Amino acid sequence: MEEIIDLLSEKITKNLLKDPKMKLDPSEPLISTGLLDSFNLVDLALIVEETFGVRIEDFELNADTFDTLEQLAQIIAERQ
Amino acid sequence: MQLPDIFLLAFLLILIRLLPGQNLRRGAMLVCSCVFVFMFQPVLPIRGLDFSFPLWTILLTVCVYGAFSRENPLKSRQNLIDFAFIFGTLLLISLTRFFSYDGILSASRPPQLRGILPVIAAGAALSFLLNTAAWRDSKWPAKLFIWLILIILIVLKTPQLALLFSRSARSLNGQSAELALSTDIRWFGFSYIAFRLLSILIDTLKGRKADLSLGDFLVYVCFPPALSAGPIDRWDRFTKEYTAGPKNQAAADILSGFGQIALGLFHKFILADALAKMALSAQNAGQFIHTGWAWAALFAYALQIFFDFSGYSEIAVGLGMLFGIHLPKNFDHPYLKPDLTKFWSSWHMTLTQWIRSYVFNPLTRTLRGNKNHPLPQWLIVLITQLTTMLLIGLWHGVTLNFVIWGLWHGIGLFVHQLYSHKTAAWLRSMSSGVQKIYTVFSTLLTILYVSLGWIWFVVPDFSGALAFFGRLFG
Repeated sequence: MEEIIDLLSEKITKNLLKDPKMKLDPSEPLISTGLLDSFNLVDLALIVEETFGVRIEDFELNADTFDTLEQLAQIIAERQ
Repeated sequence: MQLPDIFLLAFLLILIRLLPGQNLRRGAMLVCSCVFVFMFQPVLPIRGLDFSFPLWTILLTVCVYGAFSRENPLKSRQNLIDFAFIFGTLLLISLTRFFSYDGILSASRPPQLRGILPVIAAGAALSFLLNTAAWRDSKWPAKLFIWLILIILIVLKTPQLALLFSRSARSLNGQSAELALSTDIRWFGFSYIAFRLLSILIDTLKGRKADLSLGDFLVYVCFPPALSAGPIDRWDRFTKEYTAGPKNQAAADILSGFGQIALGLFHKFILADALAKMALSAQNAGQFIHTGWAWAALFAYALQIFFDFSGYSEIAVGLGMLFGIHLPKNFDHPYLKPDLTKFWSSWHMTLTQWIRSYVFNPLTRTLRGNKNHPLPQWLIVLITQLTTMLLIGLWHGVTLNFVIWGLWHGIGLFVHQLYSHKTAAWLRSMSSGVQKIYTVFSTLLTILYVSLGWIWFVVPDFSGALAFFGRLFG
């Protein structure tokens, strides 16, 4: 789980938020706070699919499905 | 929904909730949902149409169930019971013809039975037929209904097509076609019903399994609290909560449900209705002499539409709570958001979430995923934002003013997207004082942009809207 979280955190700050120095807390809300916008979410889905081979469906890209790195990592681990 | 409807519904929802046994509750809720589809329908000047629209809502829902369900209805006891409840209710409503000339459960007196019964029988037969073994694994019934629903939506939302429909219906009925108006064609709640039906059809076409009974599906599509103005709940979320039955917290739910309803009534019937007296409208847009009053009217409208719509949503959420259903909220302080992207994440949230799930996300994924011919980032943002907002505009009506309103927001979102990453990183490096000042400034700018956008929404003719812009800045 921790490996998934670290990898996700790195990809999000570097590729999506373009702020590699930024640190994300695993329990920090990403979607409900607006940190990740709708474009970031689609990119995140593509990154997850490419990196972990797990598909996050279009209707799942919202804060109800996952809002934190922990929750996303949990989904990835369950589907792998 | 008028006040008597709200109180009647509140009473019935509590009553059904308190019934003993989940099966009895589900049966009663199914009948209640069917009846309210008829009760909410306004009277229409075309004979029989205010009975036909609710009837078609029920039959369309039953047929859509036949198109996506993988379960043979003849083999499922639950579905057969649901079938009996639905068609029994339709028959009962039709029979009220013999009791009153005004219509007891329907907008006006139901038409003659010989006209209705074949339609009801055809709907039932079609639903069974769509679900026969030969077609159960085929995708075309679902595709057919997606197109049918889209065509109905386009006809209802396009004034010229609605007028054509009204003329044809009047001619068929032997009524004067010359008196036809596009507003004759008001199919109650169809904009919301259509999106619920479309979501399950698209999901099942993509391979998702939808394991729900006919009755539960109909209650999802026609849940009375959400029939008039949403929210557009997701079918999987709704049916999960609905089939689990209300939790043992009736008193707490009823208390907070009435709290929400009271808040919604205050927002809708006091604040919004009071603001309407001074707010910008299609009728008064050309009458402003002083710039100050024009600005006041514009901001009054911005608040009026918010309180009106969010009030309705609160009432719907509150009514749902009385029954133990927690409908999703539709508004989350949209005018306190510091940018247009966040505004659209908190305004009519269930509609924007729907559009994201079925238009924006698949479109962005396709454009982003094309590694061989990658499009520049800005072009993807432009295409997806304009498409999404144009569709939201057209959902309100296929007219020039709604197209411009959609594009206004599409362009706004595109421009915000271009600079948002840079400002977000810069803002994070600033002190909290600077962040606060920036947030206040950007929130005011967002309110201004959204408010100016409402001019296109409220003034239907282009020149009238431009003249009002001229009054504001002239």
